[in-house]
Amino acid sequence: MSILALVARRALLAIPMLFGIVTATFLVTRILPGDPVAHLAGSFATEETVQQLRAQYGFEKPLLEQYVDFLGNIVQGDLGTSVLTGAPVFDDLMRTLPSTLELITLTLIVACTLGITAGVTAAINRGRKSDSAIRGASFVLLAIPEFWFALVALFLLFFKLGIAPAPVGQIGLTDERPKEITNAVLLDSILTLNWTAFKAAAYHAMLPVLTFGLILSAPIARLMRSSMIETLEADFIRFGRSLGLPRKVLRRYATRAALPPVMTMAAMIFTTLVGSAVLVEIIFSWGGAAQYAARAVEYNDYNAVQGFVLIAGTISVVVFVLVDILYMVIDPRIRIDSPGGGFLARLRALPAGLRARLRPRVGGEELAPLSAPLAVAPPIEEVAPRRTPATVARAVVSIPAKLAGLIVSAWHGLRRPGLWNRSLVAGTSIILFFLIASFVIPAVWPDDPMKADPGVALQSPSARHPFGTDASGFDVFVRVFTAPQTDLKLAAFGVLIGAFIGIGLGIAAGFSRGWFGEIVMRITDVVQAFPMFILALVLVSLSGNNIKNVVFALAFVNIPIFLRLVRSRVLTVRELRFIEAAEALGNSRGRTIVRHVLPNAIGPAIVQFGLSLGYGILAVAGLAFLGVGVSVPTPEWGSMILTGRSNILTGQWWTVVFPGIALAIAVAGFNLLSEGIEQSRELSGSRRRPAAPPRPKATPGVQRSTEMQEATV
Amino acid sequence: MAVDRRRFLQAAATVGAVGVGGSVLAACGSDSGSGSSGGASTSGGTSGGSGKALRTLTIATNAAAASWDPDTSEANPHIACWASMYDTLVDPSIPGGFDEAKATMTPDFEPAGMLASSWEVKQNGREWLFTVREGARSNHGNVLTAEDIVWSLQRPIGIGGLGNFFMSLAGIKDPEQIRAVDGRTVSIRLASAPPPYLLSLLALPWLAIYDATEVSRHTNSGDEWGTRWLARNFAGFGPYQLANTTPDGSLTTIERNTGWWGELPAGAAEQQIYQFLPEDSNRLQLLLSGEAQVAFLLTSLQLEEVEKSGRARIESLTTPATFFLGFNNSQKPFDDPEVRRAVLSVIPYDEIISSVYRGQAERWKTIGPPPWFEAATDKFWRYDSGAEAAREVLASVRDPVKLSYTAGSSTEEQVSIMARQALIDAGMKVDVEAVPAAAASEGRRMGRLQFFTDPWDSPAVPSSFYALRQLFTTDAIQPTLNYKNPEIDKIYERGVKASGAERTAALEDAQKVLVDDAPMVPVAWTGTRIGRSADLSGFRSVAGSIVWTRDIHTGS
Repeated sequence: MSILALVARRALLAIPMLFGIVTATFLVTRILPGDPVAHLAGSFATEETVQQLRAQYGFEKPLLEQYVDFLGNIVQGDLGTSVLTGAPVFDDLMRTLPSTLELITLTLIVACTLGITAGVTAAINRGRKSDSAIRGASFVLLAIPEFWFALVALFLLFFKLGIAPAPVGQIGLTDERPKEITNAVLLDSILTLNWTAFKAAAYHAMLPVLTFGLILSAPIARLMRSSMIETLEADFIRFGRSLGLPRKVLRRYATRAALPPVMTMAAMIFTTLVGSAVLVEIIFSWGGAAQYAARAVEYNDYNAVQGFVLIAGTISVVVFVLVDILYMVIDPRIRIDSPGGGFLARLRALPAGLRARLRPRVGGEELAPLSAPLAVAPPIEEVAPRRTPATVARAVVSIPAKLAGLIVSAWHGLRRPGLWNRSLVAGTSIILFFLIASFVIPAVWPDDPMKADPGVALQSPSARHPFGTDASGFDVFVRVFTAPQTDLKLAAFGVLIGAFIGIGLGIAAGFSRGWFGEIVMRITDVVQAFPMFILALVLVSLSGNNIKNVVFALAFVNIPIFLRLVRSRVLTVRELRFIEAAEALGNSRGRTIVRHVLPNAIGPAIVQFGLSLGYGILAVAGLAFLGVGVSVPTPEWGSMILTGRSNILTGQWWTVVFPGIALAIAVAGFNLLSEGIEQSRELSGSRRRPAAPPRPKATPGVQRSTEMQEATV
Repeated sequence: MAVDRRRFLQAAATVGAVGVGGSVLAACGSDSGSGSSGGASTSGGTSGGSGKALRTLTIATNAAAASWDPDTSEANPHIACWASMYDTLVDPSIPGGFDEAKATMTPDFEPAGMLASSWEVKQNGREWLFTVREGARSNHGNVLTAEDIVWSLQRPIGIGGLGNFFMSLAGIKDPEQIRAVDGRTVSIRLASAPPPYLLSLLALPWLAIYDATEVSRHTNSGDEWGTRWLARNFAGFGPYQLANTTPDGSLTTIERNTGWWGELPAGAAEQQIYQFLPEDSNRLQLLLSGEAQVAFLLTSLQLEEVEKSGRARIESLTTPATFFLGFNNSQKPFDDPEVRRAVLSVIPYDEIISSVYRGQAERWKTIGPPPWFEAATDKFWRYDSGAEAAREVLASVRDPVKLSYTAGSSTEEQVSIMARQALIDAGMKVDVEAVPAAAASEGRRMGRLQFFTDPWDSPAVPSSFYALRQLFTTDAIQPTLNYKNPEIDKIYERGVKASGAERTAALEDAQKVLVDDAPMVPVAWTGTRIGRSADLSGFRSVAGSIVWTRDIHTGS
């Protein structure tokens, strides 16, 4: 089959997904609480106007009829009219989207260039100083919130040093603008061969692209390093080496073979950025579609929000298709018509695939990842016990003893030799430090974290106020150390709920061999194609700005991550013989899942939990930076940065810098924790495996599954 | 022809090479772009001496000009932009200085004509005859006629926008009430006696006069008022016209309309650029770096930086902008006047003004009109003492109250923190909630919030009676406070028909009742403060606290 035929076939496969996105967009915007007509009517609207609008938008019709109208309008390219601009939403998006896509594309080019170069360099120099430096740098960058980094970069490069331009958007105020073709200024200046405008636009794109690109290069570098290390040990490279091929040539081959996972991640980053670019667009006044969407949310411009969500979802699908095509181009072994082909299938396969490739091989054969189950099949007498009053009573009486046994076993587990690797110790220490400090410091510090003292507003750091004071006269030090109570609580609840639902659905979807699993996965595909950041804004905006909604938004983001992770594990586990044995021995399906599948499938989810917590803290802070979630005077890192952002360019840097550093350290703590858990699991897994050959020394990053790294994006 | 993999790769490599080349060029551009930007700031600078014409006036605003149709857009800050392009019947602007502004508050003050060169009142105010200004031409070259004015004033009623609301306040609800007597005269008939602020209502920028001849060319059966065309285009009779705008309205350039009937001050800009910058710190930096000559909506601390810089100044405009804490007067515990009075007694007004406003605001010791409006007086104020007694009342409120403020607004946030602290110290339980901007605005407007901060940039019409009607009468324009007091209704009815001392007495009576009943907490009179280049002048305001930018010029 020619590539064109394959492309056409892949494009056809995207149609059901697009249909799913359209349907989900309709449902999400209808299900959310709040009256969109009341929002649309605007100030001073009479009841008559509200009713007119209700009729005009068809909100009084039955839901099914509204859905049919909605589909009909979309087919005609009609996304409605923006309340804010008075123009068709489709036109608005076509005007603003190119500049966002330009920003994202340039950012991704920078991120991939830096990330791939750094990853390859680190892999080639594995174990040397340059490897450590790159790993260290990428680790730090992974933990830094991009909006904070952008603010600090502006302060230093524009305000202090004067080498960056003012953050006024895509081009200077009085610079010559190119003729509008796509409305992406840099691209338009190339298309019109206007090199004066091109220079000015490139100068203005420099800071947002570099700051954003640098942050995003970190996950790419880590993934590229791990993928490259594995590829360098692959048979074809060994063969090339034995043939005496020059090192340069071998590296070129290896780099190319190591690229597919990075492409998957780049595609994921691209689709995620369509929505989450809003933070950078606002800081740099970029004027793109993400900023348009955020403004639409702020002003309850219902049609505009709906249109943006729909277009962003469609972009995701298009990107997935394009990546599929690129797969074929880069790696001729990959064919989308082959079983399990296609971006989404590969995305789903990544955890198992990538992780499996990182495992030691015996005679060229891959070790079955779970040939020795973590939970051993139960003895026959435990299977399907009959419930009688006596057995129930015995079970109840034995609860304290079992609990005590669990505690003792947990204690012994914690003391297991080799468990406490450096990452785990460092991560646990950081998190414990923040947790303990968040209760101890407010109790002993002379300033109340909730009590403002306007008389000492904006004092610079001193012995009395080590981190200075903010505009309301709050002591920044005590608030920075009280904030974990809020940040960790929000992130933990959001991730816990997401993990609970995601793991449950993942097990159900993985274990079911029928239509249920397929439906769940298709819904997950659609959910992951949405701009989650904007959806979270919509949720909070329409249903009230309270922390409960932030928790829900966070849970919503995490469900698909855990679902995919656990499902991919369950798919492997369910085919293993001990599961067959458990079923053959008469265990019910539920018991088999709970006692045998779950313990063997939940490991990656535990690792992911730590990473998701780090991501959750960043997300809570990002939402708080947009004014969503936490209200004053509750100390919270993101809202502290939001409050201080007006002050950083008037010289009161401490109001932003200290909360940002604390936030980054906390995120780094969770990243270290998950890395440490992963290392421990690898170690304990390798101990149980019989006669495994010596494996390369475990290095942080190598063992991290792709989803985990994606979660930190 | 089938495209094989190798061929595809070759094509991709070519595209990639172009991309890389672009990146390299971009890097080159970044080296030399600095000069380009520097040049930009020079060209837009205000280095011209006194009276020397500005080529470009750059204004850093806090809102994008999303739509150019005055009647379908409400976002205040960009009204500044289209108010420079559209003229109305009479001049709506208020001088920036306190004494000059105060002078416009006298009962016999009449605004200057704009597109109506004169007017005549007949039948006890039931009919108004406006004479159309001679020689006024639109940016499309069409001469102003009575039909333009009739079409323009009928349009708000036709599309039911914001203009329609103000027309209805003026007593104009039927398009038939507006007609052309002849080619140069327009008649507006009213069903009842007009409010004393009728001319001010008709002067509001939402009631812009359009070039109906031009707009009619772009109408169709589904859009008879040209709403779609006017959202992106301009057809008016003002001193500036739309030159170009970015798709999202974040950068807009307007330029002189050479056919304008009037004369701008010497030193007024040839073109004005409105740059939307959502971050206030970015607006400040643009002003301090000289790339913008005016910056809207800076925090008090940032305004201090402006003053310290020596390169720019604070421009203080006498506008009705105030800051109050609003009660939902129909909801517990604020349905009890004793609780409301107690809150007024414990709020640290002076501390808020010195700390949050850095001394750039003044006490507002009345309830009703802003301090410089007709008959505004602080002689009834009695809440600077009595905090002890208030504590007893506040401590008796059992349920916590929710104080809402606009998320992201540092001023509202700081006032909320201080108010919460004062009330908690007095024994009241208070939770603070950050509400997204639109929800906060809607919640206030519809009276859905229990207790809230309100940076009030109204009344849009400079009239004490309009201020009373806006929030305090039973049929209030905005039910923000859910306040109903028959005594105020009677005073309003009495005063709005009166003149001279009786009118003043009515306004004072209203303030006495309101201060005693305490339906809100008047925190501060802020006026409008903006940052500007040192050598600019000519600042006025319009429709409340919006900056009237068309007269800004170099020199004094």
